[in-house]
Parts: sequence; structure tokens; C-alpha cells
Amino acid sequence: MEKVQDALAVSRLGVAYGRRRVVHDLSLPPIARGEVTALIGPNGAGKSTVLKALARVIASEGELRFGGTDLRQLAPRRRAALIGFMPQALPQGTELTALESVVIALRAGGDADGLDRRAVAVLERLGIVDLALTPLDRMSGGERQLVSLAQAIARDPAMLFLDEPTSALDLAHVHRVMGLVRAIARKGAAVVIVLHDLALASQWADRTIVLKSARLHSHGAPREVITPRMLAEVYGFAARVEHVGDNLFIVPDHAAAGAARFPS
Amino acid sequence: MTGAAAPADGGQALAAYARLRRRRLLLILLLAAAVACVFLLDLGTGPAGIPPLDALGSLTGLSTLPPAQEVILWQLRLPVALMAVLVGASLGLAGAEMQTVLANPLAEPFTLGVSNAAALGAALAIVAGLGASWLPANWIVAGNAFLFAVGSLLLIQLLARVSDAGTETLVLFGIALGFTASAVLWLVQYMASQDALQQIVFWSMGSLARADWTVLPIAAAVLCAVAPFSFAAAWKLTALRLGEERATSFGLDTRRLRLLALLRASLLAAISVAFVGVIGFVGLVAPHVARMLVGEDHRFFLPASLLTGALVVSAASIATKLVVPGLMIPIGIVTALVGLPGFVWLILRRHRRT
Repeated sequence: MEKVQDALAVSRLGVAYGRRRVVHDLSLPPIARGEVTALIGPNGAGKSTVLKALARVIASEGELRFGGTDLRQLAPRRRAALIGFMPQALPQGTELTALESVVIALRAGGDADGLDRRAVAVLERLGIVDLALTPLDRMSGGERQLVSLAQAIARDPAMLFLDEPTSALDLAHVHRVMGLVRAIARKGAAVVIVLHDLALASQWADRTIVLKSARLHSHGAPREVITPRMLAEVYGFAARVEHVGDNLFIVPDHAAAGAARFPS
Repeated sequence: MTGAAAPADGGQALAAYARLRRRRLLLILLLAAAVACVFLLDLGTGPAGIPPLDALGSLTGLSTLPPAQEVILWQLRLPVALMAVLVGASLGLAGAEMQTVLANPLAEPFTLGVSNAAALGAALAIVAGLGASWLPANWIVAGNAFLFAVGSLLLIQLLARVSDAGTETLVLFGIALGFTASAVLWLVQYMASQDALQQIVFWSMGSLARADWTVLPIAAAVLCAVAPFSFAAAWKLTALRLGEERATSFGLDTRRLRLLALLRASLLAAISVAFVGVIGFVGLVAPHVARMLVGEDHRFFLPASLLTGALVVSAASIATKLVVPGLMIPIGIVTALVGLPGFVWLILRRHRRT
């Protein structure tokens, strides 16, 4: 199923905020279509920055190719047709309704036909059609997160970048959303998802990329990557990793964890 | 907002959305009708009583008034009433665009220092007695106010660009600039002659009495030239309400969008301030009211804000003639006095909801 020329190739990526260089010369393994790739790492590892750079929401240096296309040369409108992006920050203080926000996601991208119908279909896919006419301002954090995801997937993008899409969701919704994300990948999209929950990453992701201080630490199948050694090296966290069926449990080594928290 | 139950399926959602849009369109038409009614009332209000319907008859050419009343209507009342509508519409639209692109519900020409800068420009022209044989003095005052207003916004833009700052910093720059302009204005007033001081004070309070047939076409032309561009950007502006990163991911050049919107807003604000002086709170209140009425889909929000602004200033224009009989008090005082409680009410309402 996986074709390397259809993958997103990232090499020598560099990002600077003003004069502060936060990502330097970062190359990633190919991000294949049809797969869910989890981007993991501790706080401040540069996950969100890298994700935004991949989604071309912020300017970056280096090479970014999808199939034969240089994403950096692509006109914004054409790029937007390929890429769906869900930021971590949710919109604040807006009277726009869920349905309007998805209509805009379609319209702003240049689509013009049957916007209402298509937007409603997206809400139905996420099971939130009851929120269609509710202003975003009057929704819970979890509801707003679902609407935000609806905007990102509205145009069936070939690449989907999600920044902690499940951080505000309850257990049932977490798995519903992850299932949907995997289904989108299986239909041929390349999906990159920033996750803090490693158990979730191991359950739903096909591949894992581990970042530490904006550098590539390791990558591969979640089972191979999420190991006690990686946890110690990247997170500074002593723990055992246990696999039960498809599920992964991280069991903290209490003595070591306690020692780490309260150094004597 | 709809008051209806949440839609149970896609069909219901589509039907409810269609109803909501029809309702918003209706509200906009009602606003337009209200503006027309208040405009006629404004024409009819004043020491010489002209019934609004007679005024309408004269305007449409269906009937004529006694000669003295014709002169009052056409030369005095009509320019003032039209200017009220134009200035209100301009400030309403400017405030709406500013609040959207700066993602700040407090943004408007007044809070961003544009009005203060314009007032300073006017004061300098008055004090310096700038003049040219081929131009009337009040045109030079208006022109200088316009230059200062546009200049202040360009300066804010430049500062934001150089410092690579976000929208919040842009607003702070504006506030700082406003205070600076005020301070310099006080200095100018302190040093001004008695005669010039009186003119400056009168100017900075805002007055529709300065409106005449020579300046009206300019204000109308600017509004007519700018508004279509605002409306054409409605989709993009709405997308900006979902956040900067989101809008960028839709393929929008947010920096350009913001620059153009602020340019449009400063043109509208500058023209208003240049011709009638400082009128505060309209640019702040009109978008808030419009948002409550029709939501934030800018296809409805922008026209609603424009019409609300026109309605507020037209109504204020009537009030300026009624508060003290026989005396037309500066309109800036009325909008500020009515605007302040209105503003507090808006904040409280917002607070209650969240």
C-alpha cells in the first residue's frame, strides 16, 4: 500500500521565531500516505512547531516535498487544498456557529458548490450535527475541539496535521476520533498527529516519530520506539513498558520517579 | 441564539440554517428601514418644524414646502442628516473591520488613537493658521486631520511590522499613540490663542454642523469606494474569526488581509473625523450590536454594523437638537454620553453569558 514517492519528505527543516531559531536542520523519515504517524516528545520538544511547519502555517527553511510537489513553491490556495490543519489553540469569543465554521473552511479554501450540504455531512461524520447552530463561544472545550477537527477534515485533504486533537475529549470521544482519523488515513491521507498520551499513540498510530529538543531521537513502529530506554532518555522518566494485546501500559518505577521529583 | 431545539439530523440542520439566514437578511432589511425612518425624523427635527412626511414629499419632488422651509430643508437639514448617516455608516464599518482583523472587541478608530491623531492634525492646522488662497481654511483643517489619521495607522502598522508583533501589540501601540496624540493636543491647546482654542475645542467634540454640500460627496464617495472591497472580503474576514493559524491553513494571506482591512478602516475613520470631528463609541458599539443581531458571518455582520452605525449617529443627531431647545450640542458629547452606559451594558451582558 505504501509508496515512498507518495510520502511527505522532510529534510533539513529549519524554523525561526524572529531571531530565535527553534528548529535547525531537522530531517524526518518519509511520512507515508495511508498511515497515521504520531509525533511524540516531552513539553518544549518542538512538536507543535514542527507540525505547523509541515502544514506550512509558519514559514520554514529546508525541503518539504509531497509526491513530486515542492510544498514550499505551491500557491497558498493549492496548498490549502492538499493540507488540513488543526491547531492546538481553539478560537475564543466567536459567535460563529459550528456549521458556519465548516462552511467557511470549505469556502475559504475556494470551494463554492453545495457548501451547506457538505458541511452538514462533515458534522454528521463526527456525530455533532446537534451542535450545527450553536455558537462556538457557547460550547464546551471538547465540543469546540470536535468542531475544530471538522474544519480540518472538511475538504478531504491528502495530508492531515492534528495538534493534540483529543486533549479535551472524554474517553469515548477520544477513541471515536482516533478511529475516524485512522479511517481517513486508510483512505489514502498522510496523517501526522501530535500526542502526549503514549498509550493512545501505540494503539492508533502506525508509526511514531520521537522528538527531543527539536531533534529526531528515534522513529519506527510504536512497539519498537516506546521503550523504557526511550522514556528515560527523552522524558527523563523511569518506567516499565508492558504490552497486553494491542495495548501498551507504562508503569512508573515509583522509587526512581519519586527520586526524580524530589532530588535529595 | 435561534431559540430552537438542537437539530436531530442533517436535514433539520440544513433547514434551520436556511431559516437563520432568512432571519438575518430580514433583520438587515429592518435595520435599513429603521435608518430611513430615523433619517426622516432627523430632517423634521429642529426649531422650524417640518413634518417628516412633508420633508419626504419635498425630497421626492411630489410636493413643495414654503420657500423658507425649502431652504432650511435643502441647505441646512439635509446635508446634516445625510452626513449623520454617512459618518455613522463609515464608523460602523470601520469598527467592524478593525475588531475582526485585530481580534479585539475593543478595537475601533477611537480606541486605536486614530481619532486623537486626527484631532491633533486639525488642531495644528487651526493654530498654525495654515492657508492657501485657492483652498478654504476648513478644507485644510480637514485635510490635515485626514493626513494625521492615516499617518497614525501607518505608523502603528510599521511599528508592528518592525517588531514582528501580534495583534495584541498592535492594539497597545494604538492606545499608546492615542495618549501621545492627546498629550500633544493639550500642549497645542495650552499654547493656542483664545480664538484658536475655541475652534479646537469645538472641533474635537465632533459636530455635524460643519456638513455642507461641498464635503458630502467626498464622504459618500469614500464610503461607496471602500464598502464593496470590505464586502468582497467578507469570507476571508469571517475565516479570520477562527484564528490566525486556521485562516493561514485555509490558504489566506492574513498579513495582507489585515493590512488592507486596516487601510480601509482608517480611510473611513479619517474621512469621518476630518469632516465632523471626533465622534467616539459608534465604531465600538455598532459592531457589538450587529454581532448580537446577525452573528459573525461577515456577509451579514458587515452590512449590519454599517447600518447600526448609521442608525446610532442619525438618532444622536436628533438628540443633539432636542436636549437643549434652540441649541445644537456637539454630537460627540451625545454619542459618548449614550455610548458609555451602552458599553457598560454590553460588557455586563457578555460577562453574564460566559
